[in-house]
Amino acid sequence: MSFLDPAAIRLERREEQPPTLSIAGDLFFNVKIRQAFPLSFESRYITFFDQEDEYLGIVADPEACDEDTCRIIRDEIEWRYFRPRIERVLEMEGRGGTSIFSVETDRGAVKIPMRDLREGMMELSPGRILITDEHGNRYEIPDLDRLDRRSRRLIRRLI
Amino acid sequence: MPLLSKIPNELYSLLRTRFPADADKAELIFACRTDLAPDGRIQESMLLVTRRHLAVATLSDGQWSLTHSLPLVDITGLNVEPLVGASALMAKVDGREIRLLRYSHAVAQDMSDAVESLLHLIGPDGSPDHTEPVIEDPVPDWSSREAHLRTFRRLWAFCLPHWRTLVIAMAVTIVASAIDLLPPYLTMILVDQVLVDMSTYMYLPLIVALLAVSRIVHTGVTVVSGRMLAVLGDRLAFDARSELLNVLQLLPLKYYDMQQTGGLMARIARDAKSIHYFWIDFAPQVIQQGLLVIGMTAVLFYLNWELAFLVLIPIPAIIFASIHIKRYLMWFYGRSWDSWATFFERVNDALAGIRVVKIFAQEKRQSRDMHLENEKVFTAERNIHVRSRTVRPLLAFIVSVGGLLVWWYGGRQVQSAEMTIGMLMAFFLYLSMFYNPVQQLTSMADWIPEMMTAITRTFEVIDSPIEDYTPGETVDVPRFEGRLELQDVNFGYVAHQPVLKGINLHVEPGEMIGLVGHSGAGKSTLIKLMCRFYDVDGGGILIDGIDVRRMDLMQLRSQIGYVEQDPFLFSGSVTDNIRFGNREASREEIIEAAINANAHEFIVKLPDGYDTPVGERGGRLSGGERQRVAIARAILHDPRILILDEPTSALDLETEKKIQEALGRLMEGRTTLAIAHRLSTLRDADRLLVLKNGEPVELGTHEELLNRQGEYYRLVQLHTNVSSIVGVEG
Repeated sequence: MSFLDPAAIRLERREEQPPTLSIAGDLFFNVKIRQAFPLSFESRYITFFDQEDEYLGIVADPEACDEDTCRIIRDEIEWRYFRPRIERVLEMEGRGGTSIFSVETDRGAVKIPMRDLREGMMELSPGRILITDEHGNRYEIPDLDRLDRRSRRLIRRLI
Repeated sequence: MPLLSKIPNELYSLLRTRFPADADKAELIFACRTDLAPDGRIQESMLLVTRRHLAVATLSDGQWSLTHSLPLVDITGLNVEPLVGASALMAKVDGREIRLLRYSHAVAQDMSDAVESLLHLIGPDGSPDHTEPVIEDPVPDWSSREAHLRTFRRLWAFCLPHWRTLVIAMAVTIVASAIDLLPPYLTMILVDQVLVDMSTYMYLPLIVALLAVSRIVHTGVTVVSGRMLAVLGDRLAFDARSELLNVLQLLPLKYYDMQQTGGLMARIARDAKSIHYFWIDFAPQVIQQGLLVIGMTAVLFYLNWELAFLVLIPIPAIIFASIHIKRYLMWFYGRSWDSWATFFERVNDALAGIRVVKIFAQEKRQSRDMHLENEKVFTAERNIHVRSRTVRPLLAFIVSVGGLLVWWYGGRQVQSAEMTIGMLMAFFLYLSMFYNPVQQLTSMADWIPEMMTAITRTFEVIDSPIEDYTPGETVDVPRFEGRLELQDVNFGYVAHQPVLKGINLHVEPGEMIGLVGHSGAGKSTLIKLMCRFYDVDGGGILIDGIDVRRMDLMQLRSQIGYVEQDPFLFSGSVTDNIRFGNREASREEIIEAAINANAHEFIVKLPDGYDTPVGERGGRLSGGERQRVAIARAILHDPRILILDEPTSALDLETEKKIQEALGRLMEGRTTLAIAHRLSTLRDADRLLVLKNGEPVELGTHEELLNRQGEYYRLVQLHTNVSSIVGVEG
């Protein structure tokens, strides 16, 4: 069986420490949690690695785990994957070959410098845009249609 | 290529007199043009085959003569002897080899095809009487001059589905041309009949309004026709690209063996666009400007025929000058393009190799070299600009001569009251509109060859024969058991240079056969035949007792899996690549396949996991990672027969082990043919087929063959001397 049974796993965590995973009674400390499809299917297919970064297993539907485990998975994913969601595009200016977007995200206002717009903007699915700035930071527009008109116009010009 | 080349009439009558017995059989079965005379001169020659004879004709001092003529029944063999820089066609007659003709590489493929067809006809067993002429469906030869008409017909066929739009757009264009003629005429009425008399002043607003209306209507009509033609042109370019893209997927692999990918890309991107230019820029312009010239000439003659003649005087000079100026400048433009190309090449080189430049302390020399190229660019650019600034005013002067003539002659007619001032003004207005279309039409003549070449190239690809996906009567085999038989398989890429000879093999379902042999032994060729990228020349390949040539090609290939030596991944995500052969696969299935291919772990460690873009050709993954993604792809494809080309390159032990494990899982329960390079694979194979120069020399298990101490034993010895891990080079 390649997938772990959600009922057989349990995550625990003490304060700010990495969580401990028990798989059918076996304990693994300081586990790392990663998504198998971080861009196309975030809510499912969660993988676990031990502290040596050795692969432990994958669970297809984390929602089927107990509530605490589920919450810890969500927190860990939130902790590992930093990808602010853009809520508003304030303005765009060009400065010597670099385009700078001033945006408001769910994690605060930020300026996104981009060298190569073609490389840096990727439409993951219609209306869902992933932006990678020149430092490699990533931002996401989950649904372009839900941005205000001005923001939409600024982004549409580029994709 | 057509096997039946056109032959000169003179040669045809020569054949008739020489072989009257053939005349009642009426025809040449084929004629193939070659480019060397038997004595090696570069001279047109022909290989001719009638129902009963084979002849070679050569052109010498403008006269055709037959250098060889042999009855087909006497020829017991034909073969191509590769020479250096050329080839020779040899015939065997009464046990003697006869050198029929020589030819350069330029016609090698045609000749090979010809010889292949000829083999059916020669010798006592040849049956020319009841053999239909062996002529392949000729692929239209788009490169010839006669092809231009055909190109036009094809262009029209392309446009046919949209003929309504085209007709309306053209009609609107014609209306626009007609409206263009109106304002000068109205001006004449205004000057001669309205402005001269106080009593007719009330018509002034009417005429001005008419002028305004004509301008407004003209603008509107131009916008409408422009938009219609723009959409139509883009639609046609889209259609052409779509057809090209479809055909490119369906063309047989051997087509790609002969083409450079870059050239094909250019066809898709640029040449298909030329169809757009034809319908958008060229055809409407020619019609509009042509109609304007005709219309204005008619009006000018109607107004005053003597003056109209004077207007026409500078026309030949304008046409002549336009053509020559353009050609003259084109030469300089050509030099400028060359110098820019060299300049970029040089700069690109210098920048790409900057590390080498610095290590060898050659910065100054590089700068000097680039400076020289820069100077060449300067000279070329200066030449163009200085000249174009000289010749264009000269052209303008020629154009102004018409005006001077009209002033002189028209002025005299006005003085003598033979002509009104209004008419003279109308003449000037028409004049200003007249020479421009003439110049434009002239310069368009220069576009034609360039545009036609591009359009022709597009059709050349579209009309290439595609693979025969469903042969006449196909046998439906939805799921193979996996029994494989090779029966006396013979094959050569070039006719009569066999690469595989007499291969016989019987493979049971689930069995694994390792193919072993030196480089060039024919292992890869055998694999290409299995996938039906090529068809065998002799014998047959049978799956579950059915010849692969009787199967639907899609059905056949969908059940064959192929893991290449250096697998090709498409740009897209890891997921996209794994499910390439099975688009319906669920995420669970994708993950299962990746786990079985030992790829899952490295994939989920990538920051974007299965969503990671692999880059162009999978360039963002390492060699071992690409291999494993390709194995996962093959596992998900779930083929009944697996073809495996093991990588020769050494990977680290850990990766090697993972790949071996993955391959083991992939091969489970499937009939496998593997080009084996590693000892471990060789040992695991149920049997090994050893090939040497395209012939099978040994067949047996690893141990059996080692004990036999033959070819396989030598290969293994050689290999263990070279390396302990990577196997026999293939």
